[in-house]
Amino acid sequence: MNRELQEKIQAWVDGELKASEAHRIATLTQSDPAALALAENLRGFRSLVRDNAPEHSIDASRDFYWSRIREGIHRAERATASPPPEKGHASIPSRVGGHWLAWLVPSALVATAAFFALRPGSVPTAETADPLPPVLVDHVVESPLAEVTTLTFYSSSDAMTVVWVGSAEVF
Amino acid sequence: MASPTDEQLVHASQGGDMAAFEELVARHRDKMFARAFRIVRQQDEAMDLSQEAWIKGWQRIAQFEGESSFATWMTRITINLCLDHLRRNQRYRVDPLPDYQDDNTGLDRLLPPVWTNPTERLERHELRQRIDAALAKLSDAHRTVLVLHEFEDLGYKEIAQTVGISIGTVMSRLFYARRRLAILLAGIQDEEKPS
Repeated sequence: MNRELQEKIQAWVDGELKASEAHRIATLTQSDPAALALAENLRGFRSLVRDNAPEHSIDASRDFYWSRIREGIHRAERATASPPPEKGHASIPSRVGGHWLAWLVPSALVATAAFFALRPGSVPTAETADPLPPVLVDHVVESPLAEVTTLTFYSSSDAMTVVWVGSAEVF
Repeated sequence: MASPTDEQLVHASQGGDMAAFEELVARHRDKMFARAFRIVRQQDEAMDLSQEAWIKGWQRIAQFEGESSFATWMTRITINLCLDHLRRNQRYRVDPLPDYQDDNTGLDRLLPPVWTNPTERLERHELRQRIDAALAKLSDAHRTVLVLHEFEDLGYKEIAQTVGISIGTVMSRLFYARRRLAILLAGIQDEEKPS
């Protein structure tokens, strides 16, 4: 008996053959003792394994088992609610223990920009204005805080510096 | 007062009731652990994977529409996680088939008949242990197909889709796994046959 036929007999025993093929194998088992023996053997073996499925249970207590699941659920929910901040950025407020710093830095930036822009006699004309360092021209200056982002733009034709301050989501 | 049914607990869980979900976990945790253990055969891994399955179950509970029982739905999540785990760890290799291709004779050797007396509890307990030990000796790939067919009652097509192999491969792995398991269990026949 070749391998293909053995597997067909197995499929017949498992009820996996189409009607026409099932009929062919059924007929074969009536005339071929080896085919019949294999079919009976497979049936007996299948019952033996199914009726004696090994049982396994958890040693841990209900509370312990559940506590790890609950932690996992909460961890996943926290991760979904707020993606983890990049290292070295948002960790600053948490290190100092308050949100006041989140407002202090952008406020200082705005105040500095306003001081230089509105200082009497210091308003540069298009002719006298010194070119700003490239870093401030049309360039996003990131706050070291993940929650707040500032965007600073200098227009040389209008001799004006504009600073937008907002939450990171806006930008 | 009657305890709530699974359906009621599922409904409450879908509304965000975590206590209801905890009750579902308590009811079915052993089943999910056993399913994971049958596939990965490592206590700690089975524990972790079954817990991970419950976390996914909670996250997806809103998608459960009750086409099958809750236990069946959770079983599918558990099995998929276990299969992913085997693939990730490159444990999904198939043993070569020694002396199989040309083994056209000796049906007794092919699938040794196993005599058992199901009325004897101790014998049955021992038989289960022997089957368990024999299952542990199969490769992950063969054992998975056998477990899905015999214990999870999946058909060839479902196994093929779940594992990601052809139906022909399911058939040959199943045949080989049965044959190998029968050979490993053959000792039982000699020990338990009435003299």
